[in-house]
Amino acid sequence: CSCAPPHPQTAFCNSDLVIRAKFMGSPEINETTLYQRYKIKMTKMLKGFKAVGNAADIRYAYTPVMESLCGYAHKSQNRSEEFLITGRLRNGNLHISACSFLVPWRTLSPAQQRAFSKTYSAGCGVCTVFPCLSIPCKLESDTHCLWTDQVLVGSEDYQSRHFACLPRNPGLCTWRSLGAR
Amino acid sequence: FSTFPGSPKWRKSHITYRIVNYTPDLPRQSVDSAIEKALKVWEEVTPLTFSRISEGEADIMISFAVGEHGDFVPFDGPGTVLAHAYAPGPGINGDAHFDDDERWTEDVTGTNLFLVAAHELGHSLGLYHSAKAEALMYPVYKSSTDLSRFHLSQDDVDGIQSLYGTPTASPDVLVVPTKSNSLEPETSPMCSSTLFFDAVSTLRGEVLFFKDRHFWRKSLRTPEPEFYLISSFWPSLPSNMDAAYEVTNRDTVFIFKGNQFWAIRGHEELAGYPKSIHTLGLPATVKKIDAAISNKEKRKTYFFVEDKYWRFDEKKQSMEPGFPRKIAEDFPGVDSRVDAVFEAFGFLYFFSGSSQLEFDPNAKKVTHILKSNSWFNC
Repeated sequence: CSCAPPHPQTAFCNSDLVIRAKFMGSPEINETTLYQRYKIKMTKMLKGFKAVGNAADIRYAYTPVMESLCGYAHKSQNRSEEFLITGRLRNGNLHISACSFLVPWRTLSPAQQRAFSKTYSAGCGVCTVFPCLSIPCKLESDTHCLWTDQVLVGSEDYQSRHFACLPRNPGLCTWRSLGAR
Repeated sequence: FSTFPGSPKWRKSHITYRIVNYTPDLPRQSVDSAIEKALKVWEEVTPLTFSRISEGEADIMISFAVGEHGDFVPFDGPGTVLAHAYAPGPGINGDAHFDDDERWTEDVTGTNLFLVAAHELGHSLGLYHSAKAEALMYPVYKSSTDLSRFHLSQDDVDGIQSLYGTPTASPDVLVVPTKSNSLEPETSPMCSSTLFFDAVSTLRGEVLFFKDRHFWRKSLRTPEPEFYLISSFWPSLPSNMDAAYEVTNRDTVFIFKGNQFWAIRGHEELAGYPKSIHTLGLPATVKKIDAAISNKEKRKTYFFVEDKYWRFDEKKQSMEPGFPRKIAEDFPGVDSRVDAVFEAFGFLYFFSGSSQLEFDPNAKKVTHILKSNSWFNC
């Protein structure tokens, strides 16, 4: 399993579901499909109301058993810790992977928490976080924002943590600081 | 580094691969050379050699695909998941799949095929993910890698050598029988006609056969049983155990030795154990039990001790009155001492020395007599 490092805004926009939830214990394994499911307790839905309805209760997160197939292995035993989970919806079920943006909610800065709850959605479908994979790289469209965290050594994910790519004028997207909003 | 659960690996040093199809992103020869170079990374630090075949079933089948592609694990469009691969073994095992919704490149302007292939082929050879960010087996692709200076980290080398050892010094070694041949499954003790078990239990749909310090694990996904040290999964469990059984609705396996028992859930060892077997309500005269099994429907657990058995009510968590009873009376045909017992397909399988009795609990009769190792495809 190889994962592309995600900008959180891309993770938000590319996911069908973004929720806050707690993991309720060890996974159940289905030996036939080689999937496992984690019982989760959703505390808040941040994206996906249209897909599953406002009242939907997501009770399980499905993932392959094997790490090499991008199965997600939950390390924490703490059932009261809240996680931000981004995932796909397949057959009405939440699917997550080792490549999903999935972090303890408290590790996000207040500005990022606000972005997941509100700000990022304003960029979805309009603006694209365009990863700069090697130097040189160039902007290919006015609606792209060049994401340079991966090529700038010592960037410490600065753009990931502090910026969202948002519309400024019609047809133009730019990086906007999350803190200033 | 880490390896797959049970450390599956190729039991031969010459491995075949086949590039089943190609990405439209690159000329064919670029794909061929990226894969060849990726295999060379591993070839250099192990006794393994690789050769490419162009048709038929190779050990490692390499393909490009988008979305749903014939396994249970569909790809996800551009980004996020770039590729995945299967552990060593027959069929789909060993195979590596690349998400063709990525833009595969020879350089690092897109997703570099060589880097991802080297990582995936690490899985195909038996490596799991590494927690070290500098390792090739770290799951996150690094586009900032300087390809001209690419090298495995010490962690990757340690990992692959833990499975296959260091490169063979001289090619002559290949023509004389090597030590590894004697460890081939055909000659391992699992096929010995005198094999007997200490305990047998199910665990989440698999069957575990315990013997001394080791156990065999038989699951649907592996035609061959896998053989491990008990301590590699559960460091605090005893060797030479007496009995083991699973309570499926509690997702727990209980392990017995002497007058103590332990509890495990998957890889996890539950806290608060070992406990004394007398906390279950067995009398002080019972110093050890021989075998045990729990019935999911009736929620009763049976403890076999010499020629008698006790029945435990899982709902009330107490031993039932009216026990012990004679095994031979309630399980007619099971009249020798029981080493182990487990349930499969509605039958009970009682192990006694190197033989095994298949008992139909509805008809209350023994329907088959088998060798103890009948589950191992010997």
